[in-house]
Amino acid sequence: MNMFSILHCELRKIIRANVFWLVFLVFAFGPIMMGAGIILSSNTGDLNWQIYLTELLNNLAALGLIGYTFIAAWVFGREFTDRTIKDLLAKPISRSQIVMSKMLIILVWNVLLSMYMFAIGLAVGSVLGLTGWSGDFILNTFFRFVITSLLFIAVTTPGTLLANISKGYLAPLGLILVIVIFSSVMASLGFAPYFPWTIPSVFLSTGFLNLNSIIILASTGLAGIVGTFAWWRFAELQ
Amino acid sequence: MNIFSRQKNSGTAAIKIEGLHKNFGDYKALNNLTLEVRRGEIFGFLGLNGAGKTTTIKALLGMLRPNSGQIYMLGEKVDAGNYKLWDKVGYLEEATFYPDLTVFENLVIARCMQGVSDKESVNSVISKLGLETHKKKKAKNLSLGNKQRLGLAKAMIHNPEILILDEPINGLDPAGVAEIRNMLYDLAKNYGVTIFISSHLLEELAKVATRIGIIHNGNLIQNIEMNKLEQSLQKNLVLDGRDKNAIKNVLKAHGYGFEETMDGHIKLIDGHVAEKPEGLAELLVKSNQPPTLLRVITEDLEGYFLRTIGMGRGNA
Repeated sequence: MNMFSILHCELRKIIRANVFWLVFLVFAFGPIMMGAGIILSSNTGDLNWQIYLTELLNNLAALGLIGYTFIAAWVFGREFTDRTIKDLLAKPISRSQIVMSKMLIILVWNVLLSMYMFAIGLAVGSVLGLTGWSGDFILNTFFRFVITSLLFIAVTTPGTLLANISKGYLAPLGLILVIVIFSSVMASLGFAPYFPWTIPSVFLSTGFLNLNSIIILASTGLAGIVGTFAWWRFAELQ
Repeated sequence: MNIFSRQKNSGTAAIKIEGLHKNFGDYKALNNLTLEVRRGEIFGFLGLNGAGKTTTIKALLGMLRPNSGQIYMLGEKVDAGNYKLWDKVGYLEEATFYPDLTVFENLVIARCMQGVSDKESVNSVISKLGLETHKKKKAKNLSLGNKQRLGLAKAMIHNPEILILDEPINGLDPAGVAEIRNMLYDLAKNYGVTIFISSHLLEELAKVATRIGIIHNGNLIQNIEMNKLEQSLQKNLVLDGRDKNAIKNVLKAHGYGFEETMDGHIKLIDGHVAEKPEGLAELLVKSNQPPTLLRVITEDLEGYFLRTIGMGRGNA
C-alpha cells in the first residue's frame, strides 16, 4: 500500500472528527480577542499595521505553541483514547509509515492553523480600520510568522512522544502548559535563545537564529521524532 | 481469496506457538504455552478471566513481545517488523472504531489500512454482517451487538486466511450469536479459513469449534478434538431407593465411594461403575434394596471445564 492511501485514511479520520473543527473555532478567539484588545486599548492614535501585527504575533506565539502541541498530541493520543491503536499495529503496513503519515498530517494541520490565526488577525485589523497597510510588510510578516510556526511545530514532537508513552493527549497538554510558563521565566532570565520552546519567538522578533539555537531546536525536534518512531517499533500494548 | 498461496503453504500449521513465556513484573501471564492450530480448524481457546487468553492473542498479533518462545503463523515468524503477514490475518481483539465516523467510513478506513483495492469489499462485508441498515450511522451510536458486528466486519474485510477473535460474541443477542456461529463455520468449512476463537463460554465454543484448548494459569492444560470430547466427559451413576440409609450401608460394605447430590440422590464417585450399572443393580436387589432410580449421568461441558482446571462448581 502506498503512502498516499495511508495519508488519505489519516485525513479522513481527522476531518470527520469534531476536534478538527473545534480547534479552528477555539483558536479564532485568540487573534480576535488579542487583536481587538491591542487596537481598542491603544489611545496614542499612532497605531498602524506594523505595530499591531508585531504585538499581535508576539502574543499569539504562546497560544500557537499550545495549539500546535495539542494537535500533535491529539493525532497520536486519540488512537489510545478511542482504543483504535489496536487497529493500527497489526496491519500490512510498516508502523513507520503510519507514524510518518501522522506526522505529515500534523504538519499540514498546524500550518493551516497558523495561517488561519494570521488571517483572523488581519481580518480584525481591517474591520477595526487600521491604517498604514503595506503589501510588502504584510507578506514579509506572514512569511516570518509561518517560519516561526514551523519552528514551534518542530518542538511539538516531544509532545507526540509523550502522547504515545502516556497513551493519551492530556499529559502532553499539561506539559506544554508548564513549558509555556517556564518559557516566560527563561526569556526574562535571558535564556530565550537556548530553550527549545522560546527559540522560535527569538526568530519572530529578530528574524535570525544563531547556530547554537538552531542545534538545540533541531536536536529537540529530532529527539521527539526518533523517540516516536522507536516507540511504535518497539513498545508493547498491554 | 488467494487460493494459490493457501495451497502453497498448506503443509505448515496455521498457528504454531512454542514454549511461550510472558511476564508482567513478577506475574507470569504465560507459562510455557505451546500449541498448534491446523489449517481450516476452528480452534476454541477457553479459559477463565485472567487465564492468559488475551495475552496470548496480543502476542499472536505482535502487540506483546514474549520473554521467550516463538510464534509462527502460516510458517512465518510473528514479529512487529514482519508486517506483511497481517495481509493474511484478520483479528478482533476488542471492538474498536472511530466514534465520529459512520459504519461505512470506518470500514473504508479498514479497507485502506488492509490494502484492499476492491471498493466493493466494504458493501460486501456490510451485507455479510447484516449492517446494511446501520451503514450511515455514526459508530458511537451503535448498539453493543452492532459494534461487535462492526469489529467482525473490520476483521474480515480482506478475506483473511486466519481469523483471530477474542470473545467475538460478547453483546450479541441469541439470534446474532447463531448467525455469527454459522458464518464462522461456513468460512472454515467452505473457504478453509483457520479460526482461533477465545471465549470463557464453553457451551458456545463447543457449538462451533472443531478443537478446544483450555488455558489455565498461562499454560495449555487440555487440547482435545471436539469429536473426542464426548469420551472425556465423566459419567456417573446416580441411584435412589426406598431406604436410602440401607442402600448407603450396602455401598459402604462393598467399598463403593458415593456422595449425596443436591436433589437428594446418591451419586457413585467412581466413574467406572457407570460402565456396568447392571452389576450394582444386581447387588442392591440381592441385598433387598432394589433401586427406584438408576441413571447414568454425563458431565456437562461446564463441569468438564471446571474439573479440568481443578475447580468445583462451588468455587469457580
